[in-house]
Amino acid sequence: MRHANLLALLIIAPFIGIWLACSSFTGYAQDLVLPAEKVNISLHSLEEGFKLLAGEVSVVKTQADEQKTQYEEHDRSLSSLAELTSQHKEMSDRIYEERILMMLGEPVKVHKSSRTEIKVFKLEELGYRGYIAKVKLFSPKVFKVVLAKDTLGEKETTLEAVKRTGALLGINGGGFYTEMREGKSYAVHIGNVVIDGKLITPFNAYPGNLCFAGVNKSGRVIGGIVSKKEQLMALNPWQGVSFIPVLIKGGVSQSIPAEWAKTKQPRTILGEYANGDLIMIVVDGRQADWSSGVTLERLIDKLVELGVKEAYNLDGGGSSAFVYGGEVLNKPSDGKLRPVVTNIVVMP
Amino acid sequence: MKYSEPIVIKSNQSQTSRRKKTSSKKAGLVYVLLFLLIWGGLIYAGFYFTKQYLDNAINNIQQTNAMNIQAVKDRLDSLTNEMIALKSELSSTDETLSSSSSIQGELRKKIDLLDAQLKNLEKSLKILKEAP
Repeated sequence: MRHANLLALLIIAPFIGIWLACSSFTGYAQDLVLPAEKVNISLHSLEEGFKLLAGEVSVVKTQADEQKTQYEEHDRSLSSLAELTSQHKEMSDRIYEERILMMLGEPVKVHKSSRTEIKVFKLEELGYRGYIAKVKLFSPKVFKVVLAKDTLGEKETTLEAVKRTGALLGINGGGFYTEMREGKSYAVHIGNVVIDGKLITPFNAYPGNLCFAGVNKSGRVIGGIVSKKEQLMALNPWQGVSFIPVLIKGGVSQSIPAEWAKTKQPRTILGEYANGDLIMIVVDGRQADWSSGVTLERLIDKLVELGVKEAYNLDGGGSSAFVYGGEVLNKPSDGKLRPVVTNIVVMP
Repeated sequence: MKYSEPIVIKSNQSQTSRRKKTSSKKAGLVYVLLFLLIWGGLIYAGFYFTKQYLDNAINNIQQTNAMNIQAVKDRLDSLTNEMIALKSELSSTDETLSSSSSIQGELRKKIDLLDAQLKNLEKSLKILKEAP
């Protein structure tokens, strides 16, 4: 019997072990289950955060869209304003131009190119006649001071200078005198002459009221009495000649030396309107049946009436010449063109 | 002949005893075999029961895990889709902002241009004021 019990225990023993192992496995098995709850909590948190983020992105997008719409509206408004401003400026310029032209009358000659616009008017006043050229410089390079035959000491007429350079318009330039050098006549310009931004001779510090008149690299009229080279170069001159006196500066009439104010003479004037248009005037004189000339005082009054803001008197008398399209329009007082040292020409 | 009879009896007894021993040995061997057979059967039954039990338990865990993973996967898929949508929205916002930035740059240029034009207009009006 004892042997039978032992045998039974022996047989049962492995099953007890198996039962123990299986019963504890149930507990351990729970550890094999993935921690879905924790993952779900994290996922839920992630989803919530994501929803918040999506909401904020949506707000940002809405704001960005609104901002873009506003910018586009501003852009349209600015374009419209710019267009309007441009139109107003054009209108203002046009009105100014009309006012000038109203004072000048009908042009007798007109030329327009991509580089310049030239309008020629007859000047007919009580006691004197002449011609006026109103010039718009789209390219300042078309305005040139020409040295006679491109050589110092030489002289040539305005017509010769115009033909030689292929210019359309020409007037005489600065003053000059003639002297004998080595038995030959040698023409010398007075004061300073600038061609293409360079003085053609060393700076001439002539004392007195001698003034420089010309244009700068922007095509605006410059000038004044200069006693030092630095003063002249500060004007940034591109082309220019010298004579006397300054008539109008900055819209203000200048006082004229007594010996120049009251005498009627043929005149050549270089000036500028407030809008930058150049005005070149030649008045005939010394011809009682045609034009007896004009005093500088009366000429200043006329220039002010025309609306000129800058004006310089150039060489007058028998030198005054107005050439357009290869034709001398004025009547020089000598009955023929006088050869001069410098001429001012405008290329077509 | 008479003298040889006890010897025969002895011999018979010895043979009987030997037969008893032999049959006793055989019976023991049968018991052992029977025991081993039962024991083996029980081990197999235990193995089978345990295997079934463990398989079932693991299977349950696997199913639970699979369901949990599927649920997580579904939610992650949903999040992925939302992320794609958000990415698209962010990209669109980025384009809008870039475009706005570009327009802002243009605006700055136009303001400068307008400023210059207004100055020109002012200049032009001043000129007009001085007209003859």
